[in-house]
Amino acid sequence: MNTRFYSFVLLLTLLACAELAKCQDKYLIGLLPAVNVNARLQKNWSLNTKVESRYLLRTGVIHAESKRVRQYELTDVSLLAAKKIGFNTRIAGGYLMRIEDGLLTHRFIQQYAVVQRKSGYRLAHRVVTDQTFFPDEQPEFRLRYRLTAEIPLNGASLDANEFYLKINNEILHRVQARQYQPEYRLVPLLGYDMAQNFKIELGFDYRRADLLSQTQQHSLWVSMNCFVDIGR
Amino acid sequence: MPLTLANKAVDFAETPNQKYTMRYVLLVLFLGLLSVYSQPVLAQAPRKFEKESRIKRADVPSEALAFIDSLALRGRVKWYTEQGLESQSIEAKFRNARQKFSVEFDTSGRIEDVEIEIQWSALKPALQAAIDQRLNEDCDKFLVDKIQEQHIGSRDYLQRVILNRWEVNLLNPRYELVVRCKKNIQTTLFEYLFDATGKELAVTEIVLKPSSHLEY
Repeated sequence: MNTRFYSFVLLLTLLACAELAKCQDKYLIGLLPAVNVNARLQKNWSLNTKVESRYLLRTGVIHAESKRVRQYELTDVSLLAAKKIGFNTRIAGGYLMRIEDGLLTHRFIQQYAVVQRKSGYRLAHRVVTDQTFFPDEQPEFRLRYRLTAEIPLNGASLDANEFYLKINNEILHRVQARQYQPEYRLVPLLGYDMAQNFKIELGFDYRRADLLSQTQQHSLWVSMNCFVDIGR
Repeated sequence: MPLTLANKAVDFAETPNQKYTMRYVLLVLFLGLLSVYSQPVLAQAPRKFEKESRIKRADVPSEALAFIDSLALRGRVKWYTEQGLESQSIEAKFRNARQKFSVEFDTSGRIEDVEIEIQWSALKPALQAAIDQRLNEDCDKFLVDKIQEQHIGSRDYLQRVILNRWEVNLLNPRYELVVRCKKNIQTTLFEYLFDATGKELAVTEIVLKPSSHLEY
């Protein structure tokens, strides 16, 4: 019942998002593959490396022109050092490098995450602050909060060789050149736990940017994630 | 740089900028790979391994089905198969009279035990004190996450425990506690088993599942 209920709420939310899209809003569709390697070290430390790329497939204006693109957009490479500071809490900090058109963008990240074990699912709260320095623009400062639910589709907790549903719900507050722009993200994913330390996920990453502007931007990425945990 | 809708051409010729870019990429990837070869920390305490998978009612042994059906429960019953390191069992989970029950059967459908989730306050004061003393010896600080009262006995006795627990003279129940134990800064999750007098029967470490896919 729970899984059906969550799927229903998710479908309603996606439909609501689609319905709220206005004429003149811009949109883009693309692919978002990512590989994430997490290594556990001594004394509750861990290192996390992530490589994520974006490939544009289609861009356009809602109810107007649309253009097939098919082009590589950018790649993010990040490295975060994390320390477990409580039973279910972890702080992390690190650096992300964005490579776009041969130019580098630098981002410094600070993160606090709590993972709660519930009966039949897990909930993760994540608060992130980051500072981004562009080669040709004012720096950007963001505050993000993400709520993630992991719902095993076979059993009360996620085991190897089982599917799971993962839903990210995130709000981002962005300030750049004294301009404030919030962004909303909804990411439903179907995951498969191949061996407790190796997971793959496939789903959608819906982003609605420039929420306070007349013309908003909707991005729908087909998200393909691979998570590897080492040192357990 | 914010996302742009402008169409961009991909230039494969290597420019000085791209050379620096590649050096940065290689540096970050190198640091990442270093982490891959780092040595893990493995606790030496006995660890609990259990894999619980949902099964359909049709796959449940008939004897187990007959027992659950005889209870005439109002709510839904969820069936699981539980795989341990050396054993396998069938488990029925349901709610009755606002309490969570878990009934375990062997693979042929013979009932093994009944577990009822209870609160700390439901334990007798003498038992609370004994458990408290034992946990204080093991941990600098502790927090009890979950308590299950475990009953073993005949089919009829277990049936009465489920339907009329408060009216049954309980035959030496055992208590399974999931405890967060903080010792030397490190917090670890343990499963303790106590008898009705508070004597410790077993303790195993519960291995937490990786959560990097929820954090990053």
